[in-house]
Amino acid sequence: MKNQEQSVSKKWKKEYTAVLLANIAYILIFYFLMKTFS
Amino acid sequence: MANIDWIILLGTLSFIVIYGSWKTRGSQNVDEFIKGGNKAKWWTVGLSVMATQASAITFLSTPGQAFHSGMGFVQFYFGLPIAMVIISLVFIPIYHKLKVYTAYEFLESRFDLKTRTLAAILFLVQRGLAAGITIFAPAIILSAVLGWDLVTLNILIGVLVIIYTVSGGTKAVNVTQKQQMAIIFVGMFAAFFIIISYLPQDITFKKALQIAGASGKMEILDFSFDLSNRYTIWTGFLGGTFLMLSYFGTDQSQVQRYLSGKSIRESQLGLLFNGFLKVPMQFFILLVGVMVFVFYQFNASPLNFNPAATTAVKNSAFAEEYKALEQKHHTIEEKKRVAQFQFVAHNSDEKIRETIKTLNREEVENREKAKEIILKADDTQETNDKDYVFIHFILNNLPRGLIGLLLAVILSAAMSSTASELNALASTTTMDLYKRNERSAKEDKHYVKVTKWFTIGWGVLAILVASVANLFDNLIQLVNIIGSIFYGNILGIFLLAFFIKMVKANAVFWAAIITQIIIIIVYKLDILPYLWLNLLGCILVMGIAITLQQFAFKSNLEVES
Repeated sequence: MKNQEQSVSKKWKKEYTAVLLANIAYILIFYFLMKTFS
Repeated sequence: MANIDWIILLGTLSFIVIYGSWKTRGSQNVDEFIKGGNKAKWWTVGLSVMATQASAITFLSTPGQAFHSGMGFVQFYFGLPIAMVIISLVFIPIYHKLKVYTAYEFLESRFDLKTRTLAAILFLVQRGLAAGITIFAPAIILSAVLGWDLVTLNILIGVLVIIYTVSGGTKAVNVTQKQQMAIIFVGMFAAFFIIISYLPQDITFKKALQIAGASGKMEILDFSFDLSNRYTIWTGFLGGTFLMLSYFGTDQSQVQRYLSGKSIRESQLGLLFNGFLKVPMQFFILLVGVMVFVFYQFNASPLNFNPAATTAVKNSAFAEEYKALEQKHHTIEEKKRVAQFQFVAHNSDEKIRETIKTLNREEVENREKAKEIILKADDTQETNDKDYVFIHFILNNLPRGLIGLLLAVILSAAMSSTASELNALASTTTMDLYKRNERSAKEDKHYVKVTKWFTIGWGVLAILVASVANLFDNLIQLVNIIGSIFYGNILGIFLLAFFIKMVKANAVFWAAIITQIIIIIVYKLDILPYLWLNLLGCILVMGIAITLQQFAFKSNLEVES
């Protein structure tokens, strides 16, 4: 049971991290677009 | 509008209403009606949350914002993913564990009944008025550009929403919002590709971005610490997180969306889905506006996009003066057209870039002068025309059929937000005020019936607010001010509930009352711009509650612990 909870929590960490990383990537893309086209 | 546009518009809207009502008919118990029977999958939760936030004004105003001021507005949403993660980790598990119907119900289990009732009433006042504006804001624009009767349009949007929200409750709101989001995505993508195809033959997408960049429209990120800049990366992260946390975490119109999730995990994934898609979605809507800007570099645009303002000034003593400005506007546009072609042909030459910048400055100055003349002619006219840019483009340039689809996008967005608002207002009135204060428990059917009547009542009130909104000068601003006065206080109460365990009921209740009085005084004395009242309210209620708990209610704490 404990192991199962730990694996669920690890998976969750991955999903939260993925969302935050995706948004950091968006901001980097915006920065690149701004530098290229401004 | 051609017949095909009417067919598409009316066909789409009636399909949504009929399908939504039919598919979700016959909800017999409160759990089904208010929480959709807890059957929603994560994508339904995610789309519903997005559809609730995206009102008609999002699709009318955001492209216009990009047209005039560029892409910087996207920074406003940078705090949203952070708020989604915090709500998923902290708020959702507690709401689900306590099996609450409304966010305010949680406050009773954490504090007491009076705190729950206070927060519910603050929500009802603010959201009740906002629901009227959600209908009024697109109706006033559509009536101005299409010549439709404003009151009829208000009633039409309101009644359509009432039909399916009363019939199927939360489930109907969720089902219809999926279809509305599909129409919104299809419509916006179609508009985007059509705009690109309308650009002159040798203007590729890349060149279009260069043209936009030369006019400063690609300044997406602003790293400055200048407080007078409304949209910077810092205000996006700090203010945005705070604002989104209060909106998604404590506003029942949003909380009810993810409470309908099948499990904690489905609700959390739904919010993460929103955190994943929201920033690119807003970026895309702004990009549509930037492409409209590029389109008008090669095609004639009006001096002011608000047709009512233009008609008013042309029928006044200032008509000749305005005509002279229009003439100047066309001359500038002609010069810009030549410069833009040269800019593209000469591989973004710096000299030509400077010429474009000078012409842009002249154009902006000319537009500002036009606004002054409009106000001299009729000071009741709305001169800020950003809300009219995209609809002007749609009606004057898109092919037949697509006009109907884009109008369906705008009305769908208005309906999806209004439906969530009416659904939440009725649920809060029933669960936090009516049912909680009933002496004897009644059958589930009774509460479903009562919630349906409250939905109709709030719907009629929203239509009435929308219909008289015209009589007040700045009602939209007034609603935003009322929101800022209450929102910070409510968020502060929730943050205390979640994170500061030592604060108990009496301290938070009196802190909320004192904070509300201080905030109203600060607003009345005009000490701070109203947007900052949110932050002040939150800090004040938390600070006062902790202080009261430490000193005035210390014995309480000892007894309770």
